[in-house]
Amino acid sequence: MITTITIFIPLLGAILISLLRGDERTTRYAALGIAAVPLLLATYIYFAHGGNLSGAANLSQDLTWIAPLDIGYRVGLDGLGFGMFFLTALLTLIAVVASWDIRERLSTYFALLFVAQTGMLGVFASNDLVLFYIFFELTLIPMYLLVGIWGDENRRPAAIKFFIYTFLGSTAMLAGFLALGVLGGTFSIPELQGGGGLGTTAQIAIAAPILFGLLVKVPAVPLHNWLLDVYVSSPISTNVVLSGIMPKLGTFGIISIAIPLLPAGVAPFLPWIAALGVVNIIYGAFVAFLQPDLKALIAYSSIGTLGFILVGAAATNAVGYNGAVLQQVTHGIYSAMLFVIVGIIAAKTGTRQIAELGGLAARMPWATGFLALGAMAAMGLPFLAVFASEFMSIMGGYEAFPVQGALAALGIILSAMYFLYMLARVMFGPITNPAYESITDANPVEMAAITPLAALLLILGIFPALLIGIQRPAVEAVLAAIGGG
Amino acid sequence: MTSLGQQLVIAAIPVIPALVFLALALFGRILRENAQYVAIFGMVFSLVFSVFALYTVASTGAPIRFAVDWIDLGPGGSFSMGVDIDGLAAMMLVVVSFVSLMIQLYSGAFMEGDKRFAWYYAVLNLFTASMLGLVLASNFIQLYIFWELVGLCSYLLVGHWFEKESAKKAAQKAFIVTRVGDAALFVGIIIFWRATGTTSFEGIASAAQAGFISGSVLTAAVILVFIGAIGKSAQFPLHVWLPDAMEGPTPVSALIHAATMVAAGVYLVARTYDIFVQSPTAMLTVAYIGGFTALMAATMALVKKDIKRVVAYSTVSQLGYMMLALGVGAYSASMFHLYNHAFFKALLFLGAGSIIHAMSSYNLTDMGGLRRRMPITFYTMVIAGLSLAGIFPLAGFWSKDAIVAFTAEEHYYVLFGMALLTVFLTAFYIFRAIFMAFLGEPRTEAARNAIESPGVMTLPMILLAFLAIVSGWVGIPNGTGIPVPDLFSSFVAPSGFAANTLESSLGVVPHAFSVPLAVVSLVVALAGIGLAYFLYVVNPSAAASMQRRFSSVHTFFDKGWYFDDVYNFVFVKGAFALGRAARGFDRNVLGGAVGGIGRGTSGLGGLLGKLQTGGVQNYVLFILAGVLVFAIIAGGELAFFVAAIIALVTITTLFVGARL
Repeated sequence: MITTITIFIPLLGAILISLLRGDERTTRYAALGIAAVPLLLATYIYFAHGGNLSGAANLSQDLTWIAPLDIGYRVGLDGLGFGMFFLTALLTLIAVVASWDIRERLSTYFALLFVAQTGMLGVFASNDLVLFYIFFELTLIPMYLLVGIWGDENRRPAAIKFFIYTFLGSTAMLAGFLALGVLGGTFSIPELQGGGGLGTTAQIAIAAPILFGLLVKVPAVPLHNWLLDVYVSSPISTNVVLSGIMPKLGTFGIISIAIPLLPAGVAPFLPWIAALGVVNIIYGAFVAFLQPDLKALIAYSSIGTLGFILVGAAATNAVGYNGAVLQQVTHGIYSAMLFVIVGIIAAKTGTRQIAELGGLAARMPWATGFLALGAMAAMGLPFLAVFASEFMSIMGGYEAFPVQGALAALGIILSAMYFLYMLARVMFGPITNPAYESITDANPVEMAAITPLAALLLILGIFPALLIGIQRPAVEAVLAAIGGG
Repeated sequence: MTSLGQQLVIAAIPVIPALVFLALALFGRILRENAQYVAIFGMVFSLVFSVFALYTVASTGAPIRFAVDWIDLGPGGSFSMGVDIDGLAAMMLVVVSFVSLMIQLYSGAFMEGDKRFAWYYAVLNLFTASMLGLVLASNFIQLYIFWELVGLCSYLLVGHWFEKESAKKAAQKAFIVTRVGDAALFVGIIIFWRATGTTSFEGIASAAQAGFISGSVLTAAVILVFIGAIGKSAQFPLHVWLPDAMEGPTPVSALIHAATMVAAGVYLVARTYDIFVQSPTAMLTVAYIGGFTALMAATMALVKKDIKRVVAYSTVSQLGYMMLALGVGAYSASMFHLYNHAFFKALLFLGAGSIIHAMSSYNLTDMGGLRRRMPITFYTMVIAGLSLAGIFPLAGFWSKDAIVAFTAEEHYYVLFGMALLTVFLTAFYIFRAIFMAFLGEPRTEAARNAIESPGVMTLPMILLAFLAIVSGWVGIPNGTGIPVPDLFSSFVAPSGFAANTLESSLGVVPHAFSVPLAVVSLVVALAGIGLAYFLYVVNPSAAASMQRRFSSVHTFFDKGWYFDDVYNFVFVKGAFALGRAARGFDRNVLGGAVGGIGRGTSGLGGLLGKLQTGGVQNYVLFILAGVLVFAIIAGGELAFFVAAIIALVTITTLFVGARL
């Protein structure tokens, strides 16, 4: 029951806040209050179960919905989804805090954000294919509107490109889901584990469109064309969710649906998924290297970091799979944080163009420190969250596919190359523009948006077991179901 | 077994400086220059605890070992954080924390007035903490973690004065070049892990011994690990970052060169020696890379005008010696040299820093005649120079002679020749620098007016000078006739397994001290000093005319054999070309391929734009209504059809969009 409540509270909040008639200040505080509830509930769930969700019956619900097809309202939280469930709650709150650049139609903005949040929370807690799809789609329209209405001058085509790409992808995914549910006799995700009694050919035929749909969402190169325009055009607070959570709808689908439900079907694709992951890592790094816009650079760096998830998941061994599940969360933390800092820099200097920035460290020591911290995390430096998930993804990937795994390790060099080059140009060296002599460092509200993420990077970096402990039983169950190691 | 109390004390060795880092990073603005006292106070504890560890290991004769799980995947594999202190690690702990303490004492005056004073001390402590953690590590993943942190700290410290364009570039270069090595190390680690299922040094060594890793895989993995060591220890061909790292504050250079960063590579090879000795090919690679680097870097040091760069190339060269020694099987001699080198090299840098502090110039040609102005700096530098040159009976003599003699006795005559030539070059370049700086007449106003550095700076120098003389006396080999026991080589000895393997596969046996070889290396070193004296004190015009006559060689050395230019052309330019190509491809080719959708979007945009004129409120209502519909019909057959209709509408829209 608590899962359902957590999922739908933001939806309720969306209605409340769009009915609310108040000034900007009231609206912001109301939004903060609404966003805090799911986060508190998710935190409660973590501690109430002592960091182990396996067998926690009170977290799941199973209501019959369309009996003949065995579609149900089935939700539940396990170790695979909890990390992202929690992060969704956290990043929505961060997005509310970081919405300082939204001035017009504020309550509508928050309402859409909360609708999207319900969709995202729902995806990570779905135990039914149809429900998964509905939640999956529920995120799409609000996201489209958030970018399309509050984005920059290029927002309209960007939003539409995003909409078309991902809708095309999710339609393919839906086709696969329908086939799987109908042939398998149920839409229940737990009951379909291991293949639902389908033969290998049928599984392959079903897995192909599902994987395609999910890979568009991630996105895997070369299906990533929508990403750049959307990330660059969207408002900063939307970026937080857009980069922190949305790609994980794709990777989570691969990790918790495609692989466990269609093990024989995805098996022939696994080496290629790992290879796509490597392409993401290397291609993303080189395209990021000389991007003139800070946001574009981080967008492509995200493509690279998401590649590690594909490599680790495709490995389907304990180390790689745990790494992939964890990397979903760690990528979300650092990319959200970097986008917020870019927002701060852009607000102070009036530009995101790297060539126009320079020497900001002298005036903005805290923002510099946090940007450097986020970049260091993204490069996979130890004791920052990404390290553990990244090295596990590479190690697991190498165990299953040595060539892909070894190539993925190249990402270690490439990410250092482009992030340090970015830091050097933006923050270090002499101040390039006299106007920057008078800019100020991050203010308390801005710091409030970054600090929790920075703290989480450190905490998860030093104690990855906090999340690995929770996800390990679920990963073991998946690996047992698909007969892997 | 170790008691819990003992474990806490050991764990505190790296944890104290790590906590000091956190405290200074957060509260540095309040503490300002008082940060140094917090840091020094913490470092004293680390040093005391390190001495305790050394004492415990020495008195019990058994290593200290314990571990906790860091990531536990049960049967899927687990990664632990452990401690494994044998004689080698205990020795390193004491050296690292002692040198670090000296440098923290010295830095207070050197960095006085720096606007990021507390941050400087914060990172200095993180640096020390990382190195101490690396020394303690009992497995590859843990080692890699601290290895990376060491790299991060060097980036932060080399780039401390990041407003300077050159410092910013040097920091970036140091990090990226060493990261090339790090990636190789990481691949080496995962090869071991895949083959053996463990990352612990001991586990991998015994699995390799039991034949779980085939010969070629073992060699490949060992060489990959060695490439990591090459990067950190600035060996050919990844040595290019170290001279540029001089852009950092001078005490940082002392720390990097003496105890922390560059020693890590040599330490890695020594620490995993049980694995290295199982691959004779890898051992030979280590030896020749080391020997070549020693010689190459020495030639570069001959002609440098910047006093810090002379000392920097000297470090590269000395690390080459250590690698060479490890490669030929002289484990104890190599570690003995690492230990002695830490003291005299730290001293050389602190001396150079003292000069720079006094006259704000790095340039040897600006100096001259400083002997009278800065006597303490002069005499301590001479002691460090003699130790580096390997003059009897200073510390450097014993370890250098042990390495040179070992190559001859094991019949590696090419390496012996390289090592001996390097002895000559070393003595020459370091005394060239000392003579140019301290003897003759002052060449500039700044040199005429230089004054000796304050006591907090000279005190660490005097302490280190004392050690530069006597540190080697704990390892005077048997057979010299000097009645002092050789404590070092019995305490820091290769494992029984490594010794046996060396003997059976490479034929390495212990050698007695050889007086003729010692005399040869001593004479060669004295010849180097003599030549420097002749060229730079007796007859300075001869040096200038030699430089003119051999100007092409001079330029070749001065340009560092053109490594930077070649790398710049191949790698830096190459990366930029690839970056441009990738970006162009992404924008034009991939962007172009979806041009159909792009065109479609503009049409569709117009279509949806018309709908949008109705206002946003309508949209929200529409969405909420849609969601409500779902909620209401939950339980009804309709939901399924609604989903299907949505899909159908999408597809239709897509078609329409593509047409427009």
